[in-house]
Amino acid sequence: MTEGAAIVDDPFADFSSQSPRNLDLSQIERRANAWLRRLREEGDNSRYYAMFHAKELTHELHLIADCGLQKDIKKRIGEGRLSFTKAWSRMASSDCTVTYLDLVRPTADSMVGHLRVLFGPHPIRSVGIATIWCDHHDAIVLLEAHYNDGDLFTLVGREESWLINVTRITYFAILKSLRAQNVSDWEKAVHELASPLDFIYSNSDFLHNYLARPDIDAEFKQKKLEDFKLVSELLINRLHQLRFAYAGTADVTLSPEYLDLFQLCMPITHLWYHDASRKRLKFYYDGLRNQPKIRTDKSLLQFILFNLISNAVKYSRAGTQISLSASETTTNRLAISVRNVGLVISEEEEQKIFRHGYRTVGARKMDPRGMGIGLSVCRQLAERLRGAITLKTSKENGTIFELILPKEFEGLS
Amino acid sequence: MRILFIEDDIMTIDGIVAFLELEGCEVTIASTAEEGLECLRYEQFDFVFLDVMLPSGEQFDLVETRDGRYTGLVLLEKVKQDDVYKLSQKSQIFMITNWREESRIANIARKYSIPVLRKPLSIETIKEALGWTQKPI
Repeated sequence: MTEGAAIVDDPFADFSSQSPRNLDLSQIERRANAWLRRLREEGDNSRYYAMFHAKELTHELHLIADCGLQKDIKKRIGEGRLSFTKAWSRMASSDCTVTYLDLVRPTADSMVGHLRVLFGPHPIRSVGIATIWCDHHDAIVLLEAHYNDGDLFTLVGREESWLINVTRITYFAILKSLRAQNVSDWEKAVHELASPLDFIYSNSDFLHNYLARPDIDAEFKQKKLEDFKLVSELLINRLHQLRFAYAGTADVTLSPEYLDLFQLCMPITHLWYHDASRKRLKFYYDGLRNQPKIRTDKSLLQFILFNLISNAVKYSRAGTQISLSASETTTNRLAISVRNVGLVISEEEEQKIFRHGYRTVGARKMDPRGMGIGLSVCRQLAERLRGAITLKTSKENGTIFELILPKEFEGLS
Repeated sequence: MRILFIEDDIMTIDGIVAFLELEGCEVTIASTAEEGLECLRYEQFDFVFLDVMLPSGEQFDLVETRDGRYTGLVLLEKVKQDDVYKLSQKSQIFMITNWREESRIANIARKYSIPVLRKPLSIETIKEALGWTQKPI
């Protein structure tokens, strides 16, 4: 599309009159892809624009439409639903086979492979990327690509009405899908929180009627009161999980201190005492006892371990064991592992399991209520601690989540 | 008195189970529809408390609706219609749910001719369900 060239038809004309409620994002996407392919075949231009919808900050991009409507999108920023950030980069070379774009840390090289998919074999010399975040879950990415070195800062609004329509339509479709996702997320969140609160309610009722009775064993009463404490801690952890999942971890202030892993893990496994007993699960702590202390943020590490251990308990087969261990890897790094035997995770699911909201087929069957945010939060927190979290899984060895952290955390917040 | 809870989230019934056991009831807990049907097929219970939203279990061929939700209702239909569950067709069955919408609950109660109890369950609610309203604790 050269500047000022007339656009013959509006591929989205029939969408314009539809109510936002009826908009189907996948249909818009298919229409846009077909139209873009046609444009590419018809002409050659030194400047291309594309807009991407990136779902839930994952590495997959779905092409929505081709437009250069930065100005119109800026109007919507005023409505408070979009925030606007720019990340410009100039590519170093055009040899790249990466097919996914890392939105968290966009790089020029990773864009090249994707541009090849979009624009065919044209040599792309420079690219500018602008990302617009919507409600922390979604992103619209505008990009401008040039054949020649040129001024990147020229994304300008266009006056053609069809471009304005495309932006408005896709914006509404994204909002619609976000709303549906939000309702579903909240339903699940309420369920996750209601469960420990139900415990507190029914046991308060029970203790109110039974605590004063002399024929009730003192040890039994003591155990019931201890259970209150455990479940309250569990509830607090779930609330924090929701907070990290939806508000992010950027504002968390870190306070590194020296920690004994065995002392840290014991109370966490105790939180799952009831579920573990019911399933006859045994905890093994080999390799935790004699490890040197690790210097890191206690509450974030506790939170990650809480999630990993809770998943291990939830998805273990009855009568099996959960092993916690730690070992040194490269210089100054420690690998903390949680291993369990039970739910089998396929290779395809392994690739997706750390995504926000994703749950494996087996997990959904065993626990319909889960939100699928725990591992995504764990990964965020591990990165905050300058570490990483990985998964290895096989039928023979079970499932092993490995948290790799520096032994001495450098730098605060 | 023999009571069966078919409920996967034990935390929600912990206090109630403790109360019933202290009152001398024999309480069984099944945490999936598969386990629940197994109990209902081979054992007789006076009362059954069945969660609406329940995982079906690993190898069962129950129809799952929306990833295992509402499996409780499918289980109920099976028990009422299939003579294999003859032993349990005389049990008093209650549905338990944390749904809040009155219309949704009323529909279930009407369609299945079954009392529906809302969580959180209180001791008073359970006493009323068991006909113990005159029984002091």
